[in-house]
Amino acid sequence: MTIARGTYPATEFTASADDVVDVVVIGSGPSGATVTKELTAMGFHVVCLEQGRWIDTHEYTGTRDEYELSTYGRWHSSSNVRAMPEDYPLNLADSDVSPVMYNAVGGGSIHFGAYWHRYMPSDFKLRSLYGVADDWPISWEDLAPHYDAVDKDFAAAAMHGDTAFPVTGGTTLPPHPINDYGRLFAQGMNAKGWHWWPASNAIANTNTKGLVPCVRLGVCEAGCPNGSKASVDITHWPISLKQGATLVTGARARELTVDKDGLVNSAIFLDNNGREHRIKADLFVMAANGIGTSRLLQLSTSSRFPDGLANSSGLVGRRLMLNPTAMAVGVFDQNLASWFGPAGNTAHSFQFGETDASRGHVLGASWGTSAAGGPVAAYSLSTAAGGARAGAGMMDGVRNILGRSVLMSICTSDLPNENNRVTLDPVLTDSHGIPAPRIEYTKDQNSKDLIEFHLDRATEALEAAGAVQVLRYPEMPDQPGHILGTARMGTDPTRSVVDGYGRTHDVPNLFIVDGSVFPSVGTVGPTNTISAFARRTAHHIVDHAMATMESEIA
Amino acid sequence: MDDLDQGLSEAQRATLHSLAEIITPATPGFPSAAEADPSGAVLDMALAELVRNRPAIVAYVDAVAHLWGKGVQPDVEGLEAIDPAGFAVVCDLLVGRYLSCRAVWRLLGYPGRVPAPPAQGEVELYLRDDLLAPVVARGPIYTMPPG
Ligand SMILES: Cc1cc2nc3c(=O)[nH]c(=O)nc-3n(C[C@H](O)[C@H](O)[C@H](O)COP(=O)(O)OP(=O)(O)OC[C@H]3O[C@@H](n4cnc5c(N)ncnc54)[C@H](O)[C@@H]3O)c2cc1C
Repeated sequence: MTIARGTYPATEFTASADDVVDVVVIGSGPSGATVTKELTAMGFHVVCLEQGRWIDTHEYTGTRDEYELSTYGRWHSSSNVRAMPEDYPLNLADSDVSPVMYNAVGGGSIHFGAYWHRYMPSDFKLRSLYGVADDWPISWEDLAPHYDAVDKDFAAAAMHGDTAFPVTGGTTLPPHPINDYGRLFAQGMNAKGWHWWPASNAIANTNTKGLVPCVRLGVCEAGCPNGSKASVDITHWPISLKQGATLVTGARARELTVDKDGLVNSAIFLDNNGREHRIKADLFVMAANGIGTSRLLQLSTSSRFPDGLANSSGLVGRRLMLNPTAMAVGVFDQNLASWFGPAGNTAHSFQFGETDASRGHVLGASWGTSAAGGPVAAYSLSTAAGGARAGAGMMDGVRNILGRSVLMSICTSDLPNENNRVTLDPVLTDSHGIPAPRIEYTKDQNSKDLIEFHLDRATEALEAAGAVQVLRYPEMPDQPGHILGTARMGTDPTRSVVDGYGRTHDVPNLFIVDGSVFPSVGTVGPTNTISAFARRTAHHIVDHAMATMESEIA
Repeated sequence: MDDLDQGLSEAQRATLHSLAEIITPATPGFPSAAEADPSGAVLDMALAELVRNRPAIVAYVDAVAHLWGKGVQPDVEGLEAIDPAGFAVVCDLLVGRYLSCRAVWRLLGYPGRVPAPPAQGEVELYLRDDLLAPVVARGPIYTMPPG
């Protein structure tokens, strides 16, 4: 074996024609990191191909004066705005929502808010319960032990006993303070008789998993300069590398090739100099998110798979769900120091998380209160609500909001629709000339009704808390980066792409572990569920797949 | 001679400074842009951060300079009407710069992003007076699927 262990750029990658590693994982975000950590712990040689690079904590601007400006530029949530060579452009001309992602070691966990929630039990059985979307072939109980385990891996900090979720035996770090603005929100919710709870976050408040305690800078979504947020470049990759993983950076996978039996036999990838490499493995795991994974599968055509790898159902790329997210900001006439983090959530509510047909729409949403940011964020909130962009009136809007606001994000669930999809753009390409994804996504009437209903209820809650003004944003400027559904799991190979363990129906040695596999989505950030699913798949691979596959292949 | 610092000529920079006095003027209790950032260091920082917007910024600045050269002095609405998208980008730059000045932070009562590790007992402090009691009393609110 000439493939070296450790982490190095693709330009330094060498392999001989005889090298066949155990597993190749595409993508180093939470799903790829989780599967790699579990498999390397069992002695597998895993090689992860990641198109991005390592980011050093000191690159994050959160403690520097330019921080807020940098969120308009190099730390913008949109990869289309950042437009780094490791980002691939998205054609969003036909999309009502702009999906966001981060392409680096750690993937979206570099930028994620670290709201850390499980899906609710009902989220797995929407068709049985409410006649909408599709049931998952697995249940909440199937994921429960993995939820408990990934809580630890991601340094989850939470208060036990949340009445919105079944209690399990898992343990977490204690919760973060809800701060003055969280308390005000809670008082409003109590006045209405509605559910709320101190929020759970994948943010450390003690030294653990390579993280240090949070100091509430409130900058989580542009990378934590304090090293407190559970981005997997800190929490997972150092462990996997010690366990013998290989993490190749600047390695953009362009195609998975298949042998005469229809098994994937290699991944072709390009380094930053445009040089092509090939790596062979027994097993391949896609962890490139709901856009990146379906893009690579569609790029991997062959005579056996003319419509893309593992796509006999025609569903690869379809049923994209993005959790359209709205926002309500309550403005109070007192100083709440609402720039205090985490950001992250401080308090959340699932009062309207479940479907209630009497509302005239299906599905629900979760609410979370979060740090509202500094002066530039206040300016953005003000102008998005119609405040003056320039001139003498501009500062009125900033002074009105800065430090005196309770910011509530409203994350709505989303119905699968086969017309919401990822395809390959015929013109647009990435920095290597590889076709870029084109996103078609229409917010349906149910989403619009959901958002309207929740903005009305959120307004009531904030007014009950004493808000002198409530600003309503049907579309949060930064969408949450939940990219889901484009390779759904199911039991019927004609109606789904993967089985309940993420194994593709068409290709026995190809697994998908990112949010592509979700047949329906919940009302919260998916990363906890993605990671729990990836962990379950890793254990399945260890326990069953190798033996099964060997007998099948024999 | 062109000043290529931050990719702007001296004339373009001068136009930007003049625009700043309109977009972020002095208001009661708050300084003008030039007073808040006398050396222009924060403007340079903003230009560096928004480097990808440079072409749009330069195009807008040139369009304004052209108008001013003809003796036309539009107000804020007029400046927006010249090119709404370019105006928005220049506002992000100039307002972002103004609101990133520490002098302005002080006047706004904004401490900046300083570490504020939670004190012992702070979690409980915000939950005082049995804040969670009514939620707990109402019991579970989730729906368990059958089976
Ligand atoms: C601004 C923002 C805020 C968010 N907030 C939250 C939150 O609060 N809570 C929550 O639960 N979730 C949040 N999310 C979502 C969260 O980041 C994702 O759910 C999570 O990162 C998904 O993990 P993943 O590993 O499946 O995919 P990703 O993290 O997207 O990782 C995929 C990786 O694959 C790599 N890749 C893609 N294509 C290729 C290729 N062809 N070759 C090589 N490498 C490739 C990418 O570079 C990337 O690093 C947020 C996301 C963003 C962007």
